[in-house]
Amino acid sequence: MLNEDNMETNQDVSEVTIYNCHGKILVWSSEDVQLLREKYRIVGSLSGCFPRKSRQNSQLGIPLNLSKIEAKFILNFVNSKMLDQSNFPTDVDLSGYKEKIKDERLKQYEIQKRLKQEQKLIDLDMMATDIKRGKQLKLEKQEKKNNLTKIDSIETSQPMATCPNPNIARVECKNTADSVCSMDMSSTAKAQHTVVDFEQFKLSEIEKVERYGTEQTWVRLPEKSQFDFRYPLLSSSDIELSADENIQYEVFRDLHHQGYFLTDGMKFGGHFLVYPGDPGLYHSTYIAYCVPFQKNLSLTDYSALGRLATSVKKTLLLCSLDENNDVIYSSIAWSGLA
Amino acid sequence: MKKALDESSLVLHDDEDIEFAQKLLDQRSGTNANELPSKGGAKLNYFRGTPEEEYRLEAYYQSQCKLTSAWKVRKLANLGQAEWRPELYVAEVIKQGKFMQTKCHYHHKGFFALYPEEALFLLDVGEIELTYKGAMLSMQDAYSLLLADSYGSNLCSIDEYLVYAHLSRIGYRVQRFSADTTRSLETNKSTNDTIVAKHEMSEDECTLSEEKEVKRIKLFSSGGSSQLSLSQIDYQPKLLHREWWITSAEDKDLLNHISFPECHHTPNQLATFPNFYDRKSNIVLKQQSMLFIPRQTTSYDCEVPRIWQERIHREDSHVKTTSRDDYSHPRSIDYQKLCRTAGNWGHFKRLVNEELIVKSNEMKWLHEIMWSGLEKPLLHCTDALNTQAILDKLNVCEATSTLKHDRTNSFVHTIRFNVYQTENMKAFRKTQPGKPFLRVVVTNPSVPIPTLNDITEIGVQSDGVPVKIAFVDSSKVLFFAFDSIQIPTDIVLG
Repeated sequence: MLNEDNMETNQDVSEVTIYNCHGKILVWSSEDVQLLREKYRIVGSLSGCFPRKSRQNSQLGIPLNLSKIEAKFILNFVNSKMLDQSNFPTDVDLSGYKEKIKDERLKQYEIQKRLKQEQKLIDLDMMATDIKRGKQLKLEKQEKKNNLTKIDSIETSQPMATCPNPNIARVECKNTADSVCSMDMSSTAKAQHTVVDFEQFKLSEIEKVERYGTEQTWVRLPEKSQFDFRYPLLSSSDIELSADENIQYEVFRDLHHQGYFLTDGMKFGGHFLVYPGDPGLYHSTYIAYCVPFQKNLSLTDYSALGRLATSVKKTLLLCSLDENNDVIYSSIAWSGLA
Repeated sequence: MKKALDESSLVLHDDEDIEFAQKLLDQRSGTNANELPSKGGAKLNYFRGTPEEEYRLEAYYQSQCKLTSAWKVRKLANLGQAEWRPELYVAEVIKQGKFMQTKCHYHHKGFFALYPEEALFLLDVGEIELTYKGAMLSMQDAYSLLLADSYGSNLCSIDEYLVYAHLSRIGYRVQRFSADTTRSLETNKSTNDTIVAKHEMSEDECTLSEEKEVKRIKLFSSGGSSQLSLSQIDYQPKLLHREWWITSAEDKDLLNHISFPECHHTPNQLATFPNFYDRKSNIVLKQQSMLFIPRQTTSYDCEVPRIWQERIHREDSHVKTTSRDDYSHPRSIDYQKLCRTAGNWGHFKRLVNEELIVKSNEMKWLHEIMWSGLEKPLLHCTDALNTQAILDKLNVCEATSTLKHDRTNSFVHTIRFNVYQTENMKAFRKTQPGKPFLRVVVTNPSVPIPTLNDITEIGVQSDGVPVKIAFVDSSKVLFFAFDSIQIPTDIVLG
């Protein structure tokens, strides 16, 4: 079990900023998301598209959604602040931003072009021997093909009927073979020449990198706003909890301080799912169901809750607050007499 | 070579910019880094705190760190662009992106538009850059600007957006809920206009189209079946090459000045017609032409929860209305009877005149009583203009309609989205969307659970299409449905 963190003393850690957006509590900074999870064991749930693979639901991205209870807990026990981003500051002067972004993109185009060219050069150098060999082979093939066509043309122009003496014919053939050899020599010379021209080839390849212009610039679509300074500050008391939510908050606080991770329990018919470690690595062990201390539950309720919990191999925790505001936990287990 | 490059403009830039550019290139889409990481093996049941667990946890956090800090990097050429228009509650498409054609619709102001949820989703996916007053908006700004607190406004609530994004991410085509007929009309316009927008007419094309029009005029005149009285036609050369359905702002103003209290036509319904006679311009009918529009045709908003009332309206368009003069019309005389009694033509004419006088006197008397105000019938003849008016007067509509019941409370439980299947399952056409695969109602914990009455209402609205209720708790979306089933009857054989 993880040890209880003394969060009240963690004031030296960087401040977490959470945002109230139309009634939802969101976290927009990836650093804050990591900090909340790794240090403060607040999980929440991501709700944006995953940037690199947008059209799927198994892995989501920023923003992180927090429940009201989690948000209240963060504001009370974590070095944090909450801003209200429900109203966009429409009076902010946006005239300069357009030009600024345009300039930045132009600058980025220039840099990216150079970086791409550099990368291209590195790739070409790595593959230099292959490229040279390939080019040489190609050239040789081309030359051979040309020679064959030349021989064919010689043979057709000097048919056997015109030279009755076979010796003469043989000599001529030998001559043609010599000429082929000489052509081969010339082709190798040419190949060597192409090797010399490799630098020229590299130049032409680099030029290809920038052939489509500024539209090829890679840009970043930002998640976080630049107008943080315009959003009003909210306090913990601005999050209003109902009576039921108050019980949930106390239960959350108590279980969290015992070292557990808690997530939303809606999919298992409870208020929280209680994990012994990070939910990414461990299965949850309890389903926390919060009820007022004085409320009478019917037998069918007990039966339904108990059946649900056992069927998913978890333990049901019935959580209530007693008169002294202490959290009382009780559980149900099936017992059969043989 | 490399040296030559190094000596070039790179040295002029800051290290920060170069680092930023390098990161952009590293994180660009289309590289191997796009694969989703593995979940890190099977989960553990118990916490034991062993070094192996710590190692796994460390690796898990590192992979999560990479995922959450990933940048949304896109190529500028693939990005569309849209400008948010807060007064119209839509984003105007300025530049079509590579993958966003399926989303936009044609706005009546004459441009392609995106609803807030569509614009936000495309921004989230990384297919457009959204601007406001020309400045690029971040995702966080767009959440503030495009979303609303509550349901039912022209903007989209955050819960609705979460449901929309959840379905859209896995390939469903999601549209705002509306009657199918109006939707197809809207998209018809858009497709026609796309052609106009994409291929702006050059001068040559103009002449071609003029030639075609001349041919059509010849055809028209050779038919000779109906000739327009050209004296009543007003030529407006300003409207050159304008699409016939578009109505200019001046026309709308003109219409607003016409005092015609009984005519309920909205200004949008005024249409300019293609001019078949003069190939240079379209024509617009004169002001007096409004008189030719039937008085009793009413225009109304196609509001779906009032679906039954809509049906009544539709029937009304076929109902013949009777006026005060109709009762004394010669049609009401029994000519056959008079014909049998009459000896000759002159006698018959005399009898008809007498009958007319009797009828008119009789009806005058009846009218005098009816219009005097002394009699208070259940339904006054002036109220009997259409079925809706009669039902309203008799309070029948109130009694039979369950839809009007407590609308303010049940407003949150109305259908929000039409969902169509993915392209792999069924081909989708915007012009003919057909019946949706399912419809979605959005709800959250702060809203009371839909009652049986709500579910019945929703079923009526849905018109036979299955309805799913999307429950949004914090950010997770759960779908559930209420299905009526029939309990099977077991028959014991033998």
